[in-house]
Amino acid sequence: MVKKIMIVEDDKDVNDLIAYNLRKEDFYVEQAFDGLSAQERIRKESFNIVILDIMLPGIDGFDICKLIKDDPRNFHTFIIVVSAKSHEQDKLYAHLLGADCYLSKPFNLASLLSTVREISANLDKEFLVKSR
Amino acid sequence: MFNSRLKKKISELDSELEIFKQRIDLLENENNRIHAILNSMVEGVIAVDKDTRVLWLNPTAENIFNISQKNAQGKIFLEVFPNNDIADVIALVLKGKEPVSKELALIWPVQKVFQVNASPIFESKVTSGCLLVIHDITEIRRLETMRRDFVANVSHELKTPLTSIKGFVETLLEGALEDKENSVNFLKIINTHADRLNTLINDLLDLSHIESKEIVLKKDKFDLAGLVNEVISGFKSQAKKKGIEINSALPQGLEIFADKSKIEQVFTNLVNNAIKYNKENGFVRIYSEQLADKIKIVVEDSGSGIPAKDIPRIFERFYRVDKARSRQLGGTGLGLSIVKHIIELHGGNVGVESTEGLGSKFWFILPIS
Repeated sequence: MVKKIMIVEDDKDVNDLIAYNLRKEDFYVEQAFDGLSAQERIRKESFNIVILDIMLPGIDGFDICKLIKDDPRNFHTFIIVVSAKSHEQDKLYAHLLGADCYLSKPFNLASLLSTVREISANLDKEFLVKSR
Repeated sequence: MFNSRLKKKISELDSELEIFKQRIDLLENENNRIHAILNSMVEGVIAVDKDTRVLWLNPTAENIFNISQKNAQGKIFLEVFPNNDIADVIALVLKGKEPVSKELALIWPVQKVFQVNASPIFESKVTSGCLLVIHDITEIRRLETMRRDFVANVSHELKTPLTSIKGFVETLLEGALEDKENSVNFLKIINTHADRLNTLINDLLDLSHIESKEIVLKKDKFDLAGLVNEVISGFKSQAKKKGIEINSALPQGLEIFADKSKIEQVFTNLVNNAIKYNKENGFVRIYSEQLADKIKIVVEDSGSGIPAKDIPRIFERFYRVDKARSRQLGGTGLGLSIVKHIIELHGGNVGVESTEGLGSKFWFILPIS
């Protein structure tokens, strides 16, 4: 099963960088560069994984996080926060809103990719169990 | 016999009276000295008795709480200073007979932060009241918050390009070097972000230099129009790329007395912004208006303008109307802040008039001599 990943990041270079690496591993990737367009996409469709920046123009990452987790369709959506905000209280707040993982910028690309791979493998396992 | 005794008594009384007079003078002098000290203290001082009735307050306390000694004297503390936190401190001191020190945030009647030191007043070993010394630390706390915000902002600004540099280097090392189509592009991105880091660090150093108290302006008389023409010629290729025309209408021979290199930086930052945020085939105009003993310089552009809500904050460090756009255009968010500081160092002031969609007029006023 091809996993659907949404990247919400206003820094175009960082967004493209993550997208390039994930597409290379055959994930289906959508990119949003501000909170508003991310909100629109997320309302229409459910994603397996959302990679989310916090400081976004318009609607911030915390709001997006809440929006995803408030929708029961997104019960299984994994949220990976990637942010330059590195205070414990920001991390705690993100977790309270339903984020599953928090990486501080400048992040390690290898650990982001391995996190995505791990989540993806777990999703496959769940899928196998359900389809039995 | 009786007379002589009377005389002796009178002279004794006289000398005693003299001693009393001296003592009263001494006490009066001491009282005056204490009043002078209390009156000149930067801290507010309030004395209350054991029933928390206000005995006395100094002028600083009158100012802080906006109340006069006349209106406060004899009244219960909470009646004149409706603040439970301070009243609690007084109650604690009157009960515990020990000094209490506490930082309190006041919202009403004024929004301030105070360090309150309260000590008991003793009269023959019995607590007869409480003395409050109130130190206004609002400004200290405000500066601390500003410094913390600044450090947070700087680290965020440094982390942003660093994230890209690190990510693209990792990607190249993980095999993207073989990807001929993308690898050159990735290297270009790394280069751009390294340049951005460099610009940011230079701007930060400039700003910290300008803001430091030790800065000495190297003032000289120079021709303003000549300087502006030099700046404009430096931007020729950048302007040409967007088809922007830059015109200076500064009168020849207009001399000002200022630090030439600093004023050059002001023009560089303003013209750079005027080009960056301009539309294709737009214009940049630089002109002056002569005021009494001052000169007003205007840098006008035909760009996208600034929304009214952003205008009051546009000269703040790291304040940007559109963060993503500023980053894309290589802005550090410090350019206008540097402009403001330089002009204020010269005893002038800056401002902006702007209509969204039509363009902006950034101006500054400098004293001529």
